[in-house]
Parts: sequence; structure tokens; C-alpha cells
Amino acid sequence: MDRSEYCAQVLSHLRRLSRREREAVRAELEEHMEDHICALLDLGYDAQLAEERTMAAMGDPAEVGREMEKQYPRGWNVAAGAALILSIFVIFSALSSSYNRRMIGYAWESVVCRVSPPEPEEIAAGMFYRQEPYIPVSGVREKVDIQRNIGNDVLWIYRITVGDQDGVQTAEAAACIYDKIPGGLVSFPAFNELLVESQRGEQQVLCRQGALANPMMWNLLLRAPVRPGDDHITLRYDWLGETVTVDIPLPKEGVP
Amino acid sequence: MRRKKRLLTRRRRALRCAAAALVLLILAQTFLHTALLLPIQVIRRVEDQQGVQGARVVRRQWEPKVYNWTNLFYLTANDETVLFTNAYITARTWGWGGGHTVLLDCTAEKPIHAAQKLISEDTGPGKDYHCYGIHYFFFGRVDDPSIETAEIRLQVNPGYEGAAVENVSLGYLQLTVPIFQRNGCRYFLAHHYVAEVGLLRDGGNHVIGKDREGNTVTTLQIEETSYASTSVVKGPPKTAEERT
Repeated sequence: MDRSEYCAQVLSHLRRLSRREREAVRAELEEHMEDHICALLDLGYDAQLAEERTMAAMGDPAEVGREMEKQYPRGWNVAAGAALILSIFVIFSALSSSYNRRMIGYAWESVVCRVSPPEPEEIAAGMFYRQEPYIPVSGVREKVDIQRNIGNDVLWIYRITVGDQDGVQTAEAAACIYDKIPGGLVSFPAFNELLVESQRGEQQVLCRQGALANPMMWNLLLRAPVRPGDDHITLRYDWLGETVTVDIPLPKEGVP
Repeated sequence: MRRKKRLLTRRRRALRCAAAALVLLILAQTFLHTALLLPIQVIRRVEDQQGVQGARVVRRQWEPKVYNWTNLFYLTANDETVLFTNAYITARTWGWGGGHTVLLDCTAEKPIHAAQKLISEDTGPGKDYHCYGIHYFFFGRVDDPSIETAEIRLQVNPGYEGAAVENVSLGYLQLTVPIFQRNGCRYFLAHHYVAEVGLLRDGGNHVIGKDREGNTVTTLQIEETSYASTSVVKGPPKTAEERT
């Protein structure tokens, strides 16, 4: 029996091995036998005798095969297969429906919004529920950076504009609401229960006309009438015992 | 010298595959809210959407006749709210989905807080619209310790006879609802199915809290919310002959 026959006999007992594993076992056995033969040749054995002695030293190929078979338990292969099936299921479920593909876009928007929120005109252009034409507030615009936690969500007010809107002095704040965790969903009440009021307490309930929304991020335009001398408008949120009040300062130039 | 490429062990390969699958699953669940493998994940997602924090499950009820055989209704609650929602296996999200929800605000001081959810089985909107029946779900929280039993009173139209076990009097169908205690609070959850549509009136349903002697402690009209009714598109129910 030569080396290749010996390897073939050992491998014939390894039934649960993949092609690559078989090749690895074969290479390992051959390498081992090669080392043994080289050692015997160095001691002065001739080639044929060295190979015979090596084969004898390797033992019964059937027994070696059976023992090696035990080193390859099937459980890990089953686990890898299950993980592979789960991965395929997840990828397929993520890409199969248009709803999920839209969600990928929403998730991206909610991440971008934290870094580069849209300007009021962009919010107005994308409103889904707007029934009346958007009349922009033309006047002084200023950056603000006010963040408040509302439940699991974060309300971020980032722009304030004061000026004329169709003949009425108006303050318009641009804000967005997103979950603390990127990809998290925004609470409906966080949006529906927001109230904005002027310094004199003229209240205006926000409605869907003022928002560009997706399940993970809402952009809002918060408007309230203002008069000369006003220095802020107020945002209120009162829901399930949680009350949040935010004063949004008007630009330093004040109401024109 | 060329380095010999080592073959990964089965264990290591399995662990790598499992880690990759887990990462994919977490990404899909976090960003796409799909591939939810457990019904409670749907419930937690709904709680997140409703702004409810730290709620715990107080009742889980299997209702295979609504939606499909996997359908579970959950009642979860925290100090301020009681949330009624459901979860069922659906192909739309490739896993558990659902979340037809009614949120009950319990911040006001009342002896009983109650809400309802109506789920109609119908053909869906269209010219040949037909409704085969309505599932009524009533739920709430009982805050008054003197209330021992709760009774739901539904307005019925003339001609309603109801089943033999139903208690109908003076134009009202009365359902006695068991109160159960969980996490130090008392809740109720009741399901009533009406096969013939048009026999119960819309709105005007009441919950009555009674003490041990059967005296009325409080009466409360059950509030309607915009999320109180849902439609489930189904085919006509099987007749007795078809079933046999």
C-alpha cells in the first residue's frame, strides 16, 4: 500500500466532510507521512523500506478514518447552515417588499437629518398632507440649536425665521423629531400633541399640514404670530403626564 | 516562502456565520422594522410608536379567528397608559407584524378607564361591500378599589335577540367582564363577537363598575378614538353545511 492508497482508505471513512475539508485532511496526512519518510531516509533507510515502515507506523487506515470522523461533529455544520438560512431570510425580507425598500430610504433620511436638516422651503416642498399653498416667511433667518427629549424621541429646533407671511408678522421655527437611536420610530403623540404659541399666549395647534413625515423622522414648521417687542415663541408638549415647554428665541434683530 | 492557507474549523465557521446573521438581523430589525421573530418585538415597536415607555404585558390572548391562526392580542400597561395591540405572522414583514392599536390614557383620575377596539370582517371597500361580523374588544383599568365587577353595556337596535346566554334588557346588551390583577393594578379585557351587522349601535357603549353588593359605583361612556376600528378583509364565513 502506498501513500495515496493509504490516504484514500482513510478518507473513505470520512463521510461528512466537505471537499475542502477532505483536501485539507489529505494534505495533512501526506505531509505527516512525508516527514516520517524523510526522517527514515536520513537514518539510512532506502526509499521503499522507509515508505513501508511509515505506512505501518501510521496504523490501520480504517481505524484512523473512524477516529478522525469523530473530530468533525455535524452540529457546527447544522449551526452554520441555520445561520446561512437566517441570513438569506433577513436579506430577502428586507428587499422583497416595496414597503421595506422605502424603509431603507427613511432610515437614511433619519440619519442625514441629524447632520444636515432641511431648510423650511424643503420641508414645505415635501409636505404630503398640505392642503393650502405654502406661503414662505420672508424676513430674518437665524440658526438656533435647541434639543429636548420627548419620551424616546429628540426634538431639535434648528432654524428660526421672523418676517412677513401674507401680511402677518410671523415667526416660523424649523424643527425635526427623531428617535434617540438611529432607525428608531418616532412616536405619534410627540407630533400630534405639540402646541406652539406666541408670547401673548395665542395658541395654534399643530396639524399634519406643518410636517414632512416618515416613520423615523418628522420635520416640522412651527408658526406663531408675533408683534414688535416679542423675543420668543413657545412650544408646548403635554402627553401622558410628560410636560415639555421650550422657549424659542427670536432673532436678535427682533420683529421688524 | 508562501504561507499555507489554514482551513477554518467548523466551529469557527459556524460562529462567523452566526455572527453575520445576527448583525443582519439586528440591522433589519432596527432600521427596517422587519423580520421580527417574536410577537413581543411587535408590541415593543408599537409602544415606541405610541410614546409608551416601560410598559409590561398584563394579558396575552390568542384569538385565531381574527386575522389568522397566529393572532395574539396583548394588553400592556405602565402607570399612565394601557395599550391594546396585536401581533400575528404576516408575509408582508416576513415575520411577526400587526400592531392594530388603541392607547388608553389613564393619567386622569377616574374610577375606571375604558376603551374599545372594533374589528370588522368584511369584503373590503368596494361596490359589493359586505360585512360578515364584528369583533368587539373592551379593555381598561380599574382604579377604584370598591369596584368588584365591571359590566359592559352595549346599545342594541330593536330586533336584536342575541344568543341565549346574552343578557339583553331595555335596549342594552350587558356583558359581565372579569377583572384580573397584575403588577399591583386591576385590569379587564373582554371580547364579544356579533355575527349580524347592524344590530348593535355605533357608539354610546358604557362600562359600569359595581361593588360587592352589585350596586353601581360608576358609569363611564367608552371613548371612541380614531384608531378604534379596523377592517379585516375576509371571505364569507362557512355555513353549517359547508363545515360538515
